[in-house]
Amino acid sequence: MAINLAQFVSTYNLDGVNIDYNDNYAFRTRTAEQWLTDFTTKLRELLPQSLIVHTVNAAYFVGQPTYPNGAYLTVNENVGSKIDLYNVVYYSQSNSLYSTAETLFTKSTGWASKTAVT
Amino acid sequence: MSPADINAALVAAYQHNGWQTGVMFWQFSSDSESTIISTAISGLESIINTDNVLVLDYPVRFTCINKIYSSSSDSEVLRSMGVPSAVRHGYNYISFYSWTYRTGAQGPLRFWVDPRSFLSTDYKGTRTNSILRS
Repeated sequence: MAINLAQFVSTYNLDGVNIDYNDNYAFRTRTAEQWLTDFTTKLRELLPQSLIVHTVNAAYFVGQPTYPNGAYLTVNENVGSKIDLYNVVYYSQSNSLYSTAETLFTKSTGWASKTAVT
Repeated sequence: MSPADINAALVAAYQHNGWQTGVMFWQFSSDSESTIISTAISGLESIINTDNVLVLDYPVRFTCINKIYSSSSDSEVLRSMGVPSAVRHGYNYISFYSWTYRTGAQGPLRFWVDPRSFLSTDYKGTRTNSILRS
C-alpha cells in the first residue's frame, strides 16, 4: 500500500498524504501499532520530501489499558520523527466533550481524560 | 463547540501557551463558502505580539474533500473539488479522500486519475492541453 500511495503522490505531484487510520479492532487486538509503524517507515523512505500527516482521534492517545499496546502513543514513539504533523481530532465522545478551551487544551474530562492537547 | 467558541479557544491557546494553531474542518462540502472556517479562524489573524507584529497572518485552514456532492454540471463538479476558479473558499490545505489498499484511489481522488471522466465534452478546459493550462 505504501508503494502504491507513494507512486500516486509522485505521479500527480501532490504535496503529500494524510493517513486517517480508524481500525479500533486492530488497536484493541494489538496489531495496529506494528502495521502503522511499518507503513509509515516505508512511506517516509519512498517520500523523503513529502508531507506525511496522520489524522488521529484523540482517544488513540489515551494509552493503556484501553489500548493494550499503546495505540498512537506507541506509534509516536516508534515513528513520530517521520510524521510531519498530527491532525488530532476531538469528537464529543460520551462524557469527554472537549467543549471548552480548558478541556480541549489543558485538562480534558471524562473517560478520555489524558487527551487534552497539553 | 460552536465556531465562535473554537475561535475563542484558539486565541486562548496562544495567549496562555504560545501556540500558533490552525483548524481543520471536516468536511469541505458542508462549508464550501468557508463561512464556518472563517469564524473559527478569525481571531488568530488579529493576534499581535509585543512588537506589534501579526503572529499568524495566514493560519492553517485544512479541510477534507470526501465526495463530489453534485455532478449535474461541470461547474458543480469543479466546485465540489474546491477548484478556486469555480468556488471562492478560504482553505489553504486540502486533503482528498480516499485510498484503499485493495483498489487504490477512491472517491474524489479518482478525479485526479482522469479528470475528463467527470466532465462533459462541452467543457472547454478539456479540449486541449494549452487551453487547460491557460
